[in-house]
Amino acid sequence: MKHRIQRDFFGDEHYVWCSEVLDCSKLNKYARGAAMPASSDPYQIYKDLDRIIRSNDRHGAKIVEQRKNLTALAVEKASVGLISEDDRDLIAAIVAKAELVEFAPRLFLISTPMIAGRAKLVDPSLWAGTEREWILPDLRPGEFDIVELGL
Amino acid sequence: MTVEILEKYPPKERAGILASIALATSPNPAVERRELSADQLAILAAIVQQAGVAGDPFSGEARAKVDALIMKALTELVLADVNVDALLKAAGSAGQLPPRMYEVVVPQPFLSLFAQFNVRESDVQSTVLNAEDVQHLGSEPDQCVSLFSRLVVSKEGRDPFWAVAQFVRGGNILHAQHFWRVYPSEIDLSKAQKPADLIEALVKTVGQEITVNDRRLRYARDMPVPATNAGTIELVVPTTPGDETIATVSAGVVRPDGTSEIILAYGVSNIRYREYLKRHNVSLAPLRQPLNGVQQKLIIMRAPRAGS
Repeated sequence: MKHRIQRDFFGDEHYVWCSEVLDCSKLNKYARGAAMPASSDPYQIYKDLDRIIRSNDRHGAKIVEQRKNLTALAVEKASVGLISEDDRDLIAAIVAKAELVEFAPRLFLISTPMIAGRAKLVDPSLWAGTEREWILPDLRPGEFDIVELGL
Repeated sequence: MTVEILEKYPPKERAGILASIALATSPNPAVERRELSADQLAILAAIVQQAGVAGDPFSGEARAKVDALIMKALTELVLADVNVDALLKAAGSAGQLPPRMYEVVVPQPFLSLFAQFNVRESDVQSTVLNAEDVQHLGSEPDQCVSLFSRLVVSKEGRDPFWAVAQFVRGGNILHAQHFWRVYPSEIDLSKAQKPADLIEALVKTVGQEITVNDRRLRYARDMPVPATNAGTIELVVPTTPGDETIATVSAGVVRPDGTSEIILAYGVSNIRYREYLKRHNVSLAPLRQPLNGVQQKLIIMRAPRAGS
């Protein structure tokens, strides 16, 4: 849902928080990324969201938060003229009415050569653990693949 | 759901205040970090109290309660004076809704026609619900087409194919019109980028020539054609003994210069499509009736005038 809203209404530019590894449990103990806590491990985050969707947990906290954030972003962007008030209303209606399954997780597999120099290292005080985390404020189409995992 | 403390602020400012608090308190790292002002902190404290949260408002369950309250209040503030049904209908016509927010209608004529190709209602629904690609064409009422594609891979090792479901789109309702199986093992899809390209590739193998306003074609997209004097789009399907043509045409507005634009038009030969499906081991139902090709089908649609 977030990707769809970003793509259709917010100029198809994506603010993403990234990890260098997908599933740290698959790494050898001393490998870079092996100590990534679950809260920042893309695979674990994906599994948590997937569980909420599959169990049809309409009050799942992460999904409620997604709905809240997307609506809030629409309000904020409309207030500074980045989107129209009509689009703001439509986003609010879509986000409020969309079925849970529309919020199913997707992985962005980012091509590192294509984003060279644009990824910013997150301030270590904001890392979940001791492993490096990255922010890419302007990920664009063509720089990533969208992956659905068959769990 | 009213956030009581916001009542003292001008109505136009309330949603903005709530949105700022919503984003600033998000634990989601994919939302940019920001700080709350003293005023916003006071509002947040009141919201936490109104949500009935005791203790740490940012612990798991408490956060969910606060988020739910903010979400509900924010949505109500934004949509307070909005006719949501009309909004979603207009967005549906414009092709702006997620696939699952469309209502899919599978009419009996569709089932009668496509049952012979072993297509069931569930195939149509499944293609929409699990679509890998969607293409919305046209913007004129009754002339809007939506195409959904989905790769179908069987566990039994049958030949994988792209299911392409075609609909007439009206508001947020999709009426099933056609359903095709496109087998990459036989059809060259190397140039296909969108669902309509899958149909174009299929038509190269199983297509049948049709005539639209005197223009003969097998497949057309965004093609201008001369309008008839009556301002209609006329689809003439050929009489071919022993065959039947399944055809579609959707047209844009008639322009002041007398031309109209075909949004999507093509013809498929029943016999050739059946033979093609047999090559891929699809179980076919017996023909509904002998394909004697005696009757020529003529479908006339009145194309809307530009600006009308």
